[in-house]
Amino acid sequence: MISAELAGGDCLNAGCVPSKALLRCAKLIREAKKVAMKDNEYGISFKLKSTSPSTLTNEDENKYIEKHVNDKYIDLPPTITTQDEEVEIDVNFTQIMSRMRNLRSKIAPVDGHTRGNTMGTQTFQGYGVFTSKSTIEVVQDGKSLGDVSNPILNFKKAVIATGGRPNVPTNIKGLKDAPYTTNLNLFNLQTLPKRMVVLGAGIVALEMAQAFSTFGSKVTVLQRSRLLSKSDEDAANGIKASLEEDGVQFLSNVNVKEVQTIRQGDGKDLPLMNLSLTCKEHQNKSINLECECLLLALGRSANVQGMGLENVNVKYHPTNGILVNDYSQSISNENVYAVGDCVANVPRLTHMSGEMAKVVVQNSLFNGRWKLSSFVVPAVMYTELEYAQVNKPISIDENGYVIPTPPQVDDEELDIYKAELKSNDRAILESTDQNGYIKVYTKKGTGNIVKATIISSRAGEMINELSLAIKHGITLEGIGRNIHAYPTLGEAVMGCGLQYINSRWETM
Amino acid sequence: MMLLLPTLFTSLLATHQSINSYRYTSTTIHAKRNDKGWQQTSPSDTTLAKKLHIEPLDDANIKLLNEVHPRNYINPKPLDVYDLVVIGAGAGGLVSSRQVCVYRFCKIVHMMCTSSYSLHLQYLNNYQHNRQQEEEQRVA
Repeated sequence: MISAELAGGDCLNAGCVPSKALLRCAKLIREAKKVAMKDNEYGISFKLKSTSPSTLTNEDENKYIEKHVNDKYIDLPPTITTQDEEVEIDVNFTQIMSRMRNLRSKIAPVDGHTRGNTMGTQTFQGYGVFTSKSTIEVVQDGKSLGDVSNPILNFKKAVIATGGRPNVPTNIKGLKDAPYTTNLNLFNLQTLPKRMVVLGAGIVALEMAQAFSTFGSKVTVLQRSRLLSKSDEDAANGIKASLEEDGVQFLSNVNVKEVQTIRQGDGKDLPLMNLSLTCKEHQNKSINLECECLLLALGRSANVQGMGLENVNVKYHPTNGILVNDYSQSISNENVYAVGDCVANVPRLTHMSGEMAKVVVQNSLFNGRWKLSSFVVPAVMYTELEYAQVNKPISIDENGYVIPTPPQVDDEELDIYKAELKSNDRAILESTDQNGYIKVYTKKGTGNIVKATIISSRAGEMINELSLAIKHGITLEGIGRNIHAYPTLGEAVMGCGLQYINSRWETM
Repeated sequence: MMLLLPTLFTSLLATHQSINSYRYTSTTIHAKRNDKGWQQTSPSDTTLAKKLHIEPLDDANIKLLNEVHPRNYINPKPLDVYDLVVIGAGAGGLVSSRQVCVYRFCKIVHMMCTSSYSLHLQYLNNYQHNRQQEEEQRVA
C-alpha cells in the first residue's frame, strides 16, 4: 500500500470522524437548551449546588469575563431562564475541538501504518506514480520522480484508491487567494468564528452549518440550487425548517461575484472576508456579507492527476474520475482497478469505498465476478433531524461502463407509501421527530422496493432495514408482516408496509 | 478416526505456526521509523503538519500523525513483484490492502479448520473490519 498523505484519508482526518465528534457536542447543547428553558415540559432545571443563581454577584460576572478575556469574540451564549432563575449554556469551543482531536487520535491506530504492517501489508510512504504498465514509482517526501532512491514496485494487479478533494470554484473573483476553509482545514479551527458563510447546500454544508450555529456562530448557507438537490422536495423542506429553528439562515439562487480578503488571519486572529453576491431573498440586488469563516462545501473532484495514468493506459475524466466497468476494473486496462472517490459516477461515501475495495480484491485476485451494479447504497446526513436515503445508484451503459442510475419519474413508474412520525408513540414520548417521516417507493403496482427516504432523529439507523430489504428482495409486504418492537421509531417503517397490505384488501 | 485427530491437530498447529512465522518474518521487511516521531517543539514538524492540514501540533495530533503519517518514515525494501499494489491509504485503500492479507490467510484457514479465529485474527470494533469479518463468514 502506498500512502501519500494521511492514512485513513478524509474519513478519519477531515470527514466522518471529526465531524461526528462535533455533532455529538452540538446535540448535547440542543438538549441542554431544552431543559434550560423556563417552564420546560421535562420538569428539569439547572441549579447551583451550593448557592442559588440569584446570589450571583458582580464578582461572578467579572470572573466569567476574565475567563474569556483572551477570546477574540466574547460572544455571550444566549441567556436562558430555568424554572426559577436565569442560566447560561456556556459553549467552550476550544474544548469541543480538543475533545474531537483526542477521539480522532484514539481511533487512528486502526488505520495506522503499524497495524497495517502487523496484518501483513507493506506500507510505502510517498506518492505513487505509474511509470509503465507493470511498475509504480513511490516518489518519497522531498524527492522527485525518477530519483534513484525512490522505490520501484513491480505489480501484477493495481488498485487506485486516491480519493478526492473539495471543489473550489474558479469563477469567483478573489476566491483563489482568500483564506477560505474546506473540510480539510475546518477541523483545525481553535476559535469559534463569529460569522460563518457556507457555500453549498449538500451533506457536509448542512451538517456543519447546523453544528456551528448551535455552537454560537451566525451561519448563512448560500444555495445555488435547491437544498439537497438529489433528494425529494419534502425532505429538503423538512431539513431546511429544522436548521432554521437552530438559527441557520438560507439565501437561495445565490451568485457570488467576489470575495474580498480584509484580513488574512494568523495564529491568533481569524481571517476576515467580504462576499459580494446576489440572491433571491434580496431581489437579486447586490449585497455584502462579512464572515470570519467561509466554508466551501461544493462537492468533490477525483484525485487522478499527476499519477501517470497515461503510462498505464487508464482512462479517466479529469474531475469525475477513473472510468470503470461493473467489476470496478478500468475500462482500458484489465490489470488496474479503482475504488472510492477517485472513481467516476459512484456515490462518494466511506462505506461505498469499503464495499468497492472488497469487490476489487475478490475480482482481481480470486476470480470473482462481484458487480458494482448490485450495490444497494444507503446515504445519511447526520443533521438533527437526520436525513437518510437508500437506492441502487449504479447502472451500466451499453458499453459496459458504470454510470449513475437515471432518475425515475415518481408518479409514472413508482408507488409511494409514506408514514409520518408525528403519530408514532415513541416520537410523541420523546418530543422529537414531529416533522419526520418514512417514504418508501415501490415499482408501480408491486411491493418491490426501489428506494426509500427517511427524515428522523434516528434515520441513519432506520434506513438499514430498508437497505436489507432492497438488497435481498424483501417486499414492502414482507416488512409489513415483520413484527417491530414497540415503542420504536422503526415501527413507522412497518407502517408503510401495512399501508401496502391494506391497499390490497378486498372491500368487504 | 482417533488416529487421524492428532495428525489433523498437528497439521493445524503446523499451519498455524507457519502462517504466524510468515507473519512475523514479513514484519522484518516492513518499514522502520528512525526517530521518536513528531515533535511539538520542532518548527519543521509544525510546518509539515500544516502542509498535511493538521493543526495544532498538540499531543492528540502528534499521536494521530505518528500513526497515519510517521515522521521520517523509512520505506521498506520492495519485493521482486507484488500480486497487488494499492495506491492510496484512505478507506478504499486500507480495506483493499488489508482484505488481501485477510483473504490470503483465510484461504488456508478455511481448508483446515472452521474459524478464522483460530489464527487469532484480531478485529477491532472498527466498521471496516467488522464488515470484513462478515464477508469472510459469508464466503466460508
